[in-house]
Amino acid sequence: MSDILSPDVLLPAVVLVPLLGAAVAVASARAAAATAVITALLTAAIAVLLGRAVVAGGAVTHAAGAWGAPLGIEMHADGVAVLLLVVTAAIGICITVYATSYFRPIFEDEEDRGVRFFWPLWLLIWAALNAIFVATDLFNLYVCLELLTLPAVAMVALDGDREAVAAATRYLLLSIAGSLLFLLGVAIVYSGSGTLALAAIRESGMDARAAATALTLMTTGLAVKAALVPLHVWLPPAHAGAPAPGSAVLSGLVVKAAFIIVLRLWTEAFPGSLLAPGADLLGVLGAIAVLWGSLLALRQQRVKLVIAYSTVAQVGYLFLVFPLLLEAPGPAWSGTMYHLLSHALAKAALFLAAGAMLRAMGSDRLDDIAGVGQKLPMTFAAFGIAGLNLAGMPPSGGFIGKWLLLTAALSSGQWWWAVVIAIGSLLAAAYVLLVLRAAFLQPRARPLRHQPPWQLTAPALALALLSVVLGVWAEPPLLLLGATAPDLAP
Amino acid sequence: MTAALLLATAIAWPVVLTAAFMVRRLRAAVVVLAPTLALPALALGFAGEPALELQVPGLFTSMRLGVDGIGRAFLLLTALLWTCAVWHTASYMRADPRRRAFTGFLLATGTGNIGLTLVQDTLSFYLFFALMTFAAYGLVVHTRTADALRAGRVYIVMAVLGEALILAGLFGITALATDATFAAVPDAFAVMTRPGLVATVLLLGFGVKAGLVPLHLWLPLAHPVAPTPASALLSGAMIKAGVLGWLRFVPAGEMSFSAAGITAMTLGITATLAAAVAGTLQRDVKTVLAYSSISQMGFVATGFGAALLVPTAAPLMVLAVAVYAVHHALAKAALFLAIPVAEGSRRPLMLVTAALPGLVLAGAPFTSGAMAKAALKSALGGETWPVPVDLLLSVAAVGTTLLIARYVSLLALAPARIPATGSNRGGQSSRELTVGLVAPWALLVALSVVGALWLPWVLAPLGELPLATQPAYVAGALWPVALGVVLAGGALLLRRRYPAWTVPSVPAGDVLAVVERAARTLHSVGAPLARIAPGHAAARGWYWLEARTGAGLDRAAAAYDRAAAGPALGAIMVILAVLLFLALR
Amino acid sequence: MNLIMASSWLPLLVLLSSLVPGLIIVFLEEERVQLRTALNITGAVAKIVFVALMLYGVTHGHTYAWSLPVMPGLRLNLVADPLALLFVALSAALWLVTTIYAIGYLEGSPNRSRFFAFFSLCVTATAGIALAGDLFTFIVFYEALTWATYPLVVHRGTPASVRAGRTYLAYTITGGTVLLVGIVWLYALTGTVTFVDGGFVEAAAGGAVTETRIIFGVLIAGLAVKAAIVPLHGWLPVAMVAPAPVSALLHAVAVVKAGAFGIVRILYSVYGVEYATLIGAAQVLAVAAGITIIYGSLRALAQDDLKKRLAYSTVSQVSYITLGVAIVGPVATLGGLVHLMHQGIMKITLFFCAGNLAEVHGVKKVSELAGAGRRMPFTMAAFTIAAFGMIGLPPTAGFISKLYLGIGAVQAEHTWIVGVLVVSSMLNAAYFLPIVYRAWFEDAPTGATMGEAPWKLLVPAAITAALSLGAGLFAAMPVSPLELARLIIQRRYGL
Repeated sequence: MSDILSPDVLLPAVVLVPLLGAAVAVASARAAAATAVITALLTAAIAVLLGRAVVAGGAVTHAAGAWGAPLGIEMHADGVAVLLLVVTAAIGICITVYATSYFRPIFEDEEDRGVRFFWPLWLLIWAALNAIFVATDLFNLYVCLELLTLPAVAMVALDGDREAVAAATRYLLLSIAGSLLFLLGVAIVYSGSGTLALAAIRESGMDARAAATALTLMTTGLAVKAALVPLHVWLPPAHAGAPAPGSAVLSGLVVKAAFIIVLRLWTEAFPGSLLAPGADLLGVLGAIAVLWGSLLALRQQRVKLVIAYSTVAQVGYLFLVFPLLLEAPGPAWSGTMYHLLSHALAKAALFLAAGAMLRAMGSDRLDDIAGVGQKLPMTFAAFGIAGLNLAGMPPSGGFIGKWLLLTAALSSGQWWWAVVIAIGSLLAAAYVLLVLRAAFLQPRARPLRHQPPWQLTAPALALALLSVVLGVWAEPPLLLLGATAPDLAP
Repeated sequence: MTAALLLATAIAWPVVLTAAFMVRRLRAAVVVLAPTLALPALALGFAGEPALELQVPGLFTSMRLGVDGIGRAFLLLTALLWTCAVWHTASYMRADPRRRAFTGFLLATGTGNIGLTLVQDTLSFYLFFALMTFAAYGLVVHTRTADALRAGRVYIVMAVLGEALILAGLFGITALATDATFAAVPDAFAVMTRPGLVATVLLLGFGVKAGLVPLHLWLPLAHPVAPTPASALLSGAMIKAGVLGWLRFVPAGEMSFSAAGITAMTLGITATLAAAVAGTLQRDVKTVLAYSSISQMGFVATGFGAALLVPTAAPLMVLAVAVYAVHHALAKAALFLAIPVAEGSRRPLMLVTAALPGLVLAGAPFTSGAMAKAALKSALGGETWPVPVDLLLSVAAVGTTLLIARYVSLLALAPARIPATGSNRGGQSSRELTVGLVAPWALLVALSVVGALWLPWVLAPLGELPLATQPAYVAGALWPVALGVVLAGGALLLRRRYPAWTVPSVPAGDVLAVVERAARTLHSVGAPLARIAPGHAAARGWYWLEARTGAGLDRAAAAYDRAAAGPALGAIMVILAVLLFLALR
Repeated sequence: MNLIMASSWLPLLVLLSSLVPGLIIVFLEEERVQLRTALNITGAVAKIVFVALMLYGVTHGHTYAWSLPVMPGLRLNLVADPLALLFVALSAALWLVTTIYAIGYLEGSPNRSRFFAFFSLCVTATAGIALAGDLFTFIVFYEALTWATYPLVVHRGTPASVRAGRTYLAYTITGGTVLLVGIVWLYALTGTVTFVDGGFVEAAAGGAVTETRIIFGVLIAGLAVKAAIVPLHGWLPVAMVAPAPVSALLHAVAVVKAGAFGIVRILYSVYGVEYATLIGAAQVLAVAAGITIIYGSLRALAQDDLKKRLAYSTVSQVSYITLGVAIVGPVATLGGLVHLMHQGIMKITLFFCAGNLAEVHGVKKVSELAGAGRRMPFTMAAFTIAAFGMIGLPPTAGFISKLYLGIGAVQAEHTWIVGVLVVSSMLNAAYFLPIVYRAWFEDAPTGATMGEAPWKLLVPAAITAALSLGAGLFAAMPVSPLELARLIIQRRYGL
């Protein structure tokens, strides 16, 4: 019994279970939903168990097929990884529950809205995400990245209408380009260092210029997938076009996966590179992203677009870590990761809430949802709480993240990043309010198309509340993060 | 013990009455009881031995009550006047629809006025002083006529100014005093960095109430419009509260306050003369009396100023000031209360009787007035002054006599010729003479005429009054009055001879018009200045920016999106190729 | 009793007493009036009981503290020291009356569940601010307050109120963010955020004068928004479109007070007045407060809208608090602290009465007040007492505040402050006395509706008016706000 719970089982399982679920979902459309629910619960359970194991006994490693790195598939779960797995699981459950109702036609005239494809795609994405979190070498990372991207693109096209397909195409082309750059970087690294394991690359002492080239290529490629300004153009149409649960996954998790890889490259494989001007450049791009994304979010007329642009801005925050990491490793690292986690929860909640509005009103245009706040209390409550998280308002994970990032910026004397963070959170508050004030306008005559069932309201609220829990009960996760802060000594 | 009990009652009874008045059901009863307002205080004034102290911890800033020499004098005059005036009111107001409301304001005002003579600490004094000041507004505007409201406006503005100045002075004292008692005031001044400033501020602050020129503006407006008993109280008792304020807050004799002293004397002497002239030229009998009050307060101010200048002369001066206060209070109240009586009967006897307090005021020999002037002059005599103060004061006495003459002549006229004022509303031509109307007046006349006999007893604790019976004093007191009478007679004859001549008249409140214009200009200048709202600038700026740049932002974003979708791809491919080349070279 | 005395849970209970009802009410249907009312009142009473217990304990030298670890090195600290109690007692007492008032005021209007839910959250946040034992806890509740208040400001849902809400947030969020930056900066510099009587900055970073100066500026700039210090006061007059109970909350209990209290904390528990004066920051702050006092009064003069006039008077009055604590010396601080309470009870009375006038007779402008005294005597009596208090006439509470401020100014030899106080008193009289005059000395227009407000609206006003009078009349009593404030001073200055 105990060996079933041993990491050697859990680590592969956390990837294979969703993969299996996806397979089943493909096999039988009828059983898809049920399968998905079961899979979600299983995966979540596994993630939690894994988390317990790591908290108890530190990081765990499993070499698939008994070959260790560099040849075989090695899986490694440290504090950061399990946190990501658990948060992903939480989001996963909520999205699954949500999707069971979201695709249900309201009226006869509505055709089947692609639910058949949703389940396999979603479970595939989940599997890929988990795999990326536990991967330890570039090759696996590359493969998982592709496994992640293709279903993601399909997810965008799910609605099947023209602009959805257009958005999907744009997403596809750009991410393929990104993948190519990444692959090229991997190739250079392999030729330069003869290994693909991140830790090994660091020891290999490969030629600096080749390393720089490789890192540049891989970072650029991943920056496309992470939608870092100026390579973000694919994101807003894609995330706004996908069905709500899809958008939640894409915005909440998929983008983050790309960033995680960048971060691990810079900290685990090429820590020396943090001294290079490239780190500052990433910071500057992040700052620009924060401002540009927020300003454009303020200009949007549709709720989902507001949220999508807010993702562009929030991703910008993540990239501020690079210039801060050396001077203030502690707060910068945990701050960024914490922001990533709480933003994942909050952003998923926002998209789920937006989807509920869309379903209830038949539109997510701001002037169409004016005054429905009283009719959709749960949904707007969820939106409000999650929105405050984005704005970094206490009590919320976003606030903790903001606090740590500000500490990093100010204690390392780089006050200008603090200014960017502050302005960013102000703008965030502004675009969240753009939607929230609709809740308080006097009720219009416009009736609800239908009252969303609990499956559409509860998950969003749950995720929003989770992001608040992260804000109050922050010590354990932060300790876990702190314990696994990367060692940056070159 | 009994004395302490009496003291407590003296202050509690007015409070109780005022509070009871607030209850609608008790109101009628309270109106009946109103005349008893000051009786406990009166009893205390006669019975209470000085240096009686009583502390009420917890109340306000732990209030201290007590009767001392000065306090006794002012307590007596206040209690006397309030008793008579309220008694008088009962019949004077019989026909008035707003009688009750008036009584209510009387009670509140009386509470303040009596209270401030009984307290022994600065803060409580300020408390009762403020109560009196603001409640008296109701007395001034009682008739609600346009004049009354204007007078009320001027009154309240000046009052607030006064209160504010006193508050400033209060800060100055309390900050350095060991406790709030009057006893601690001199020590506070002793350690002040700028005692002169504080003294001047207080002089002016209380000066508003005491009708110190040029802060007297409210007096000539308020007196004519207020119901006569109210005028009597304003001129008789409340003005004296200002004087008491001076004596309590500024420790004359402890040190020399040159600035304050010179100010007080200059303003005082100016007042005695100018007010006499301005008053003689008035058409309304009550305005005449108002100016007479201003002029008399001029004497007091002069005395007090001298006390501030010459510490050695202070004790005598304080005595003089006190005697002036008391005797002026009685006489002036009598003169006011005579007006309604005159509306009932104009028999010569009545007019003569009415004139008697006037003679007292003018300082005719053997009167308390002569006594007061004697005290003042003997005190001033000790020093040498740049200006012939002595002479000026005598000239002022002539003016007083003229004022009284003017008063009598106006009193003698038919009511029709008296401009419609608060005292006879609705052209009501004559009053029936009830006991309630006449008796208080008669009592005051009597007390004022024989003042010379009992004032020394009242003021004994403050010192020995100079005997005013020596020939020098008699002569000094006689000639101004005589001269005044002659001049008045002459004026009367001229008027008979040449009826065409018209007396030039001064608008009531003389320089007020100028002040009002100044205020208006100030407002028109200041109002726009206050309207700048810098706070919104940022927000407005943001909205402006949004409106201007928003659309541009959208276009830029759209353009970039279009561009990036295709060319960005191309760009990436190019980078890719380059790096490929570099790497594999 | 000893158990309760020693119980460190009391601070938390004070928060929960309003948080729990709030959270329950969120999920109540509109129709459950009885239950909702019961919850509100129970919570309010419970809060008062808890506060009273702590008051008893603290006056007997006990200090209550409860804390919860949030991040490594940072905890959610709730500490009930005398200063905290001063504020929490105020908010607890006023919450009860305001709740009663709000129940009466909103009878039959829509969205009451939402209203009372956020109302309770608002008070919870305020209590949190009051009991905050460090800057971290403070900012948490400070920001929470901002967002909890927004739904109340826009409660009516009219375009006007939504616009007002936007302005309100634009100001307060910006302020909050600036404050956050300041706090984190201070944390990065000193490594601590825990309040210490007399301040910790000098000890921790006395050397870095320039940096502490800048940080002080940032902190105050952040707090000055809610404290409505010119030129950051703009939101306050705009926010008066909110319903009367909300205005009462904004002006007297929660928001403005939170800002002022924050400034008090910064000067009293973070920098220490002495150090703030040493680096020249306190003087600047005092001048800003002085300007605000005069400017607010001048603007109030020009307003015909009653609530706008009251709003500007708040702008002016609240800065007395800042002024008081910005002057070195126990007495001035005493004046500022006691005014924190006095301004609250007086201003809330005024807003209750303004609400009654608008609610019962539709009177919203000063120019419509003719004969109001005849039309609703009790309401206007309450108003008059509070107005006299604002002017600072004895024996009202306002006089006590002003007196100690003045004395403190003289003792600190800031004669100009005496000037400010005197001028502002005159200006206060200039914009309050006309109201009193119209109400009592002018006759009501023919055909004006007569009649007093219902008891639910009247009793709260009466209570607070009585308090405004009693706090002054019995200032020397051991239970008066003055004595509580004195307790704080004694702790600080060991008098």
